[in-house]
Amino acid sequence: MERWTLSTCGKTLEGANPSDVKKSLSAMGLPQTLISSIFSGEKLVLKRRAALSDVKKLAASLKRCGLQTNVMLNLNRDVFEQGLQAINPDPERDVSWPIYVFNDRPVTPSLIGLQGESAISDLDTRDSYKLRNNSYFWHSKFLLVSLLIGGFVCETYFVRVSAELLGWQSAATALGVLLLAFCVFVMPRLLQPLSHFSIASNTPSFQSFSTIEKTVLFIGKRRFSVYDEVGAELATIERNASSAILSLERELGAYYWDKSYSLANIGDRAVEGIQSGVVQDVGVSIFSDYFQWFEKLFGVFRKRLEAKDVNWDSENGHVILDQDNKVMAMVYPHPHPAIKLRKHISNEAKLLLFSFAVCLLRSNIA
Amino acid sequence: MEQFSKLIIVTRLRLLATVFFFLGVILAYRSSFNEMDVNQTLLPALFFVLSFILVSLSLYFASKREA
Repeated sequence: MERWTLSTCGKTLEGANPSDVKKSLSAMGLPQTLISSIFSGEKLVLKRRAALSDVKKLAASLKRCGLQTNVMLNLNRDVFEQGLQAINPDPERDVSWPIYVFNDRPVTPSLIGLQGESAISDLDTRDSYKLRNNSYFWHSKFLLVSLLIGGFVCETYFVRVSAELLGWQSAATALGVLLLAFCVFVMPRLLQPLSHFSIASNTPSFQSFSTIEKTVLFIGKRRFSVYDEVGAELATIERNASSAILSLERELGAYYWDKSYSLANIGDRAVEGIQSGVVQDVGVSIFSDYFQWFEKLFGVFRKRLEAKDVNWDSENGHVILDQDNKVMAMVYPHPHPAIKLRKHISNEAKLLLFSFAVCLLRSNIA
Repeated sequence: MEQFSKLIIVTRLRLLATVFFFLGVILAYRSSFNEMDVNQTLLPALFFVLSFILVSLSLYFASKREA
């Protein structure tokens, strides 16, 4: 059976007065010592290893008082080990990779307790995040076309000046061509302002984040910093030609996106938001930053993988099947820890499957 | 916030650099119809240099933000 933990960091909901919250909590019957330790600023566990219904009930009553809480799923090693049942569904099929059965009713997936508990937000209380582009850019197509025309004019002008005034001949032509290339390939990046996105939920009680682009002159590579509301740097997103890595302050490679795998469904809307806004428009070159059709045209040659079959990238992955032998998820421990979940499944199943995949991943990495 | 104010400075410098660059382009185009005159011909070059200085300044501010 799944066990859940309810904790709080002593933060109040948006608009709630802390003294009123304290009064409501004491009216609820909580002892004064507990209330003061709730507001001490440190994380306090209010209910440990309880059923989801109990935790939800307590969280709802604390929310009515104006206190923010965090619901976490606890999973344990014993259940995990029982839950993994290696099978070979078809003896004729030569399988060289592990296959596991995911059965969300009798077997509960669990997480190996590397850090004790894993904070997976409760899906019911999760808000949807929206990504807003705050950048005031020159229109990209306009900029590119004008720089092309401007480059030609500059080239003619430079050749004329250097040939007639300075007396350079073939050197003037060569430098003119270099100038044209500079105008077309480098100037769009230099004249375009740095991008700034903000990610916020639709409810005022939730945190909002901002991403700000850092200067990287190398074409095809971009770097963003993620800031919280007070301006503290939380993470860095490094975007390469066809992939991106989000590194948290202390953890390296917290999320990894690769266009060929499109790991959108890893259970965090904020990360999904970042992906759709920042990673999906990854430039195969400078042109795809400006022209959508360029990516469509040349993206055809990129290797794309779909979870239609068990044979789907069987070299490195672990396959999680349901009882009907249908692929539910793919887990990749290498080269970067990654999970791909089947789309169009219920939130409850998604959470369980995600936990199952995470524990599989952790057991492979550990 | 410091990051945002510097971002705004970088943005404004780049926008100004774009305006100067295209002013230079227009003047260079106009000067191509005239006879070679040192004063008139070197005016677009002045705008290009100004644009280049502004872009360099924006790069300087942007790199300062990362430090």
